[in-house]
Amino acid sequence: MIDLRVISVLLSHWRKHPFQLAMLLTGLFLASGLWTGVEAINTEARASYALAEAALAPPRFASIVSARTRTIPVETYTRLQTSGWRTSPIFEKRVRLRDRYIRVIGVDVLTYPAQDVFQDVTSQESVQGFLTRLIGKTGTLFADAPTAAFLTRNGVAGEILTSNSLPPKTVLGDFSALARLLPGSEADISGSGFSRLIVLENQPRDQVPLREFADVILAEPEDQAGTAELTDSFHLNLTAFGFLSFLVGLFVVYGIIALSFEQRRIVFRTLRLLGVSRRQLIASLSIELLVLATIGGILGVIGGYFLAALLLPDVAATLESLYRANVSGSLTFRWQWLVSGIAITLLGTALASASGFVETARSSILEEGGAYASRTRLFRLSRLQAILALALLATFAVLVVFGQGLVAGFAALACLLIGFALALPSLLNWIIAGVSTFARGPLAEWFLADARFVLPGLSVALMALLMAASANIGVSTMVGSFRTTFIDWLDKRLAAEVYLSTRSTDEAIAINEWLKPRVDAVLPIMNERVRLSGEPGDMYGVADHATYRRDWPLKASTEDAWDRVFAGDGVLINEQLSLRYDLAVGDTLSIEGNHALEIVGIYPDYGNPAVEAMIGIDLFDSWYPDTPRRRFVVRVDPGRSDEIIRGLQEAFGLPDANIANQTEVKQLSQRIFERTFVVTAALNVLTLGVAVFALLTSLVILATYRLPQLAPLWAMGMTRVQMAWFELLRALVLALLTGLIAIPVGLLLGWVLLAVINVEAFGWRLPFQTDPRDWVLLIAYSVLAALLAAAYPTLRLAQVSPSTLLKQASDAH
Amino acid sequence: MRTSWNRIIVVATAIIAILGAVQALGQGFSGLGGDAEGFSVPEPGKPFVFPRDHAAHNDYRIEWWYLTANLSDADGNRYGLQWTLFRSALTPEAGTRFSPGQMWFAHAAVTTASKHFTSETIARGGLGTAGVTAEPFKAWINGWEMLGQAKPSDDALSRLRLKASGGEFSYDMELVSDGPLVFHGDGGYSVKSETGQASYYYSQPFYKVRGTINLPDGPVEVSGNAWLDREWSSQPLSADQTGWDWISLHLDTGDKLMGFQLRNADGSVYTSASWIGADSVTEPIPDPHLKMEPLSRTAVAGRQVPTRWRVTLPRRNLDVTIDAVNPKAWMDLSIAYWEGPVAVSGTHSGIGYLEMTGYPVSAAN
Repeated sequence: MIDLRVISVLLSHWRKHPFQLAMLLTGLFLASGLWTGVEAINTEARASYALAEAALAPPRFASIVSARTRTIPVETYTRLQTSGWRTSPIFEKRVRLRDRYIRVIGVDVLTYPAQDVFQDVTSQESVQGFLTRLIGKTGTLFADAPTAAFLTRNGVAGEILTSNSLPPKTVLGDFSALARLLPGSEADISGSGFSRLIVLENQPRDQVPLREFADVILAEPEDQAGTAELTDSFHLNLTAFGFLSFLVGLFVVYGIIALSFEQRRIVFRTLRLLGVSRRQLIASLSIELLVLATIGGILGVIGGYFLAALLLPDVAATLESLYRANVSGSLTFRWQWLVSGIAITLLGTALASASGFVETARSSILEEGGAYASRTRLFRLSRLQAILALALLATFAVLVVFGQGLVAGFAALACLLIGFALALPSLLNWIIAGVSTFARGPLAEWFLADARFVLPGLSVALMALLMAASANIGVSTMVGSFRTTFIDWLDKRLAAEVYLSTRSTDEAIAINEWLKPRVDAVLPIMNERVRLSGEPGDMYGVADHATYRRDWPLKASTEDAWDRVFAGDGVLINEQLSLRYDLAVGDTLSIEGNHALEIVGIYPDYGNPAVEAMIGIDLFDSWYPDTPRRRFVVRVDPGRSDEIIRGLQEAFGLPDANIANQTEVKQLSQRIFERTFVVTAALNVLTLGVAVFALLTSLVILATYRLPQLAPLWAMGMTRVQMAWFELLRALVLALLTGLIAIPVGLLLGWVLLAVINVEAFGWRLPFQTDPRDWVLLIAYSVLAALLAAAYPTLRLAQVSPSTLLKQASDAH
Repeated sequence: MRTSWNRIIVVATAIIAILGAVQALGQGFSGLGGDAEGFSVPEPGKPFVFPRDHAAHNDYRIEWWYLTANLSDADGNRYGLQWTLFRSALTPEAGTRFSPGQMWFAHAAVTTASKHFTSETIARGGLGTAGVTAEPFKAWINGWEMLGQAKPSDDALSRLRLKASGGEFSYDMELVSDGPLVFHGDGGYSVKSETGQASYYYSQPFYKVRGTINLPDGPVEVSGNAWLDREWSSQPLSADQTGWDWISLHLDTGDKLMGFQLRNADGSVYTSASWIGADSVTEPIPDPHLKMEPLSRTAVAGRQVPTRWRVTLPRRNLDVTIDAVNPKAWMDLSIAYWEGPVAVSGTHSGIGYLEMTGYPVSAAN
């Protein structure tokens, strides 16, 4: 039975030490808050993907897609249908409306298999009523609530119904109803064709085999990589970040719980002597921690919600740009992450308090709970910790050398960080011991010996600081490498001044004629959907021009790469293709249609999830004679690009969406880039904040221990202010050492991110570039963090009353 | 590790999004209103013009090409076969490629004594996946087709090739008629209720059929008689009519009978029939001379459906019992009804087809 009086006695500890209680709750809050925030983002995103998949094609449906281009002509669809194939055509297009992209999905409402989208209409109307309401230029459109409101606000007339089964930023309607969104959609679908044909259930037994249709292939549901699969790496990364933050927060919790157990040893013994059984005591302590963890967990979930709500719009923007995944920018409260947040807090608290429980369960009534016992325990613990650290670092090495896949990469990162964190106390101990041998004078020797003495009490906080600091260096290294490489790549890759996409071949010819006398060059961009090394990808055909020869960035190439490309005797491949199939310059690339070409160069292709290759336009034309020339890059004096764009708009009425101005694109990129770094900085501060908090906790707790040891120094004539300075200096030295250790750990981390994680997740490898100024800054941050954390306890020490010191000095003996 | 490092890649993809942009936006199109009014209504005395009237009448709300066949194989096993194409107009005006005026759907079935195979398919107008043309005659929807193969001098429907395929069955038939088209009611103007709802309705009941049915057990060579109904209207039933029972009978005397009763909500019926003599002279038989009386019912799809009837027509001394070859011939499709071959016995014997609609779930009626 649980005796409420026992719990009340135990709880009195927190009444007496409200600061500890606040620390404990804050630690729990931070741990569960960051975890929940990340989980909430992941859950929201995954919910959006699931909706998108259900709306676009329920997973069990295969699709017929074009074998070579991205669309299927309407005539091919008709031929398939009349040959016995029962399919439902889908037309998909991203449309820019004001400041955002909307995915427009045109369907045949009659055959579209995911009919739940239309539920609101089907529940009210007869079949005939349903059809007349959905088909025609006033036909109902469907969108999620924010998109419906956005469309109405922006002048899209007519009925737009809200559907819960549609993903965010998506509008769906019958082909005939799209004209309200896309003027000329009818000509558009006629011209370009359908994006794909969903193969319906119940196909007839007699149908013309698909292989008799030259240009289409069947994509089984498992071939159609869903958004969820594509974005897995992104979410794994988020989860890893959440877990790291959780760990850092848990270090705080661990410190406080250990302290509260330590300080209550006498209380525990007294309770036992009063007849409280061991089991009762453990049960009561469990209840106490359960209650505290639940409170902290709930607070954390609330905090996590706000964190997620704050970050989600940015994350949504990232996912949209990266994977074209439409994720809602607003957060819906979901029970799953409330439950997962509290569950992981309870689990974490159980882990953090495990050693305290074991100790309490083992201790006998007669044993005196003294400093000696606890120090022996600490010694045992630190040895165990060092062994564990070595094991983790060894695992890290094994994973880096032999590991494969993203999960192995993240596991390596975890081993590296936790391994070094656990090794930190031993490392610091050795360093201080090493320095001690050179120490001269009693004060210096005492200072160093004392630093080693307090190390166990601060180790948890210093470990948190090390993790935060090395993560910081690792990420800065990666971000820095990315920034340098990327901006350089952007400049070269976006060499042309204007990018055009025309609406028909006729228009393309007319625009070409119009442009020729006005600009330096008009170069076609052509592509065909083909299998490269067996994987569906894109083959590009490019014209011989300085835009490529001089500017196009290559990672590796033969001397005469461009000559051979334009002679039709070599192919350039993107880095993703090279890494995925282990292809190097000099190897042969097999191309669908029984073609093979020697690889003469590899180009970086950041931001592209697919494989890609590039050949000269003459060879391209001979292989794919039917590919229309509808997209162009225009070379012109940069000062005249605005004039050319205006001219094109006036002469051909070309919509904004079909023209991209290089300067605008670059500016946009820069803006997004800078916005990214704002978030990076915010998150850096957050993690470092947690570490500072851990340090502050430890120092405050330490201060309460320290008085008995400091009192004799005071008695020997040292002033309180001097003592305070020493305390401060020690904290700073320890932080400085931790910061120094964080540099190699962080660089190693950055290397893993660049050479393992990036390659696995995105298929490209960035050159390792690091800036020592970042390290100096980080050490400064660490020292500043220590200064902040140490300020309060130091100030208190400087003001402690002589009578307290006297009392402590006498107690010590 | 930071959540944000992925965000950097935003830049790359933002560019790709813009460059690979959004394809062409075309010009406006002349869509059509969903106005349901303005359909034509059948009028008595209007002459038919062939082959034009074999094709679709898009200004009428609904229309069908309805073929049923009674077949048997070399072993004497009986089969029923159905091929039906329905047109349903969304608007009386012409549609465009993506804003169609017409919807098409079709049902096909093969019935044996113990099995009933069905399939349906659906298509919107405008995309070329379904339609009916007069010259050459062709009715098609998603690979099912009724193809005119007549000589130019003959009626376009006098010789047909018929194909359909479902998940478990398919068939391929040749049909040749040895009689003229037959017009019901007042020269093809068929009244459907006391309040005057009517349709245009003619038939070709004189087909001899030969062909192959493919079933899960293998192909079967079959031959027999077939009956094609052509009907279009804008208002086939009045509001209080709950369903109908329709028969087409090939009597051994060479005479044929088409009859139906439209059931009213109050239990009364409205009947109409055509007696088609072996000499192909057709006598319209107005309400209330034909009597159709259910003798026994079969529980199918949660309903009680009469599958044995007494049919009497005193003025022709006809008093027969019709029995379903397969009482479970339920067309379990988006629009569900009962349709299957029957055997005729009594004062006359023969074969035929029975169609019943509007039997509600779990009602004894």
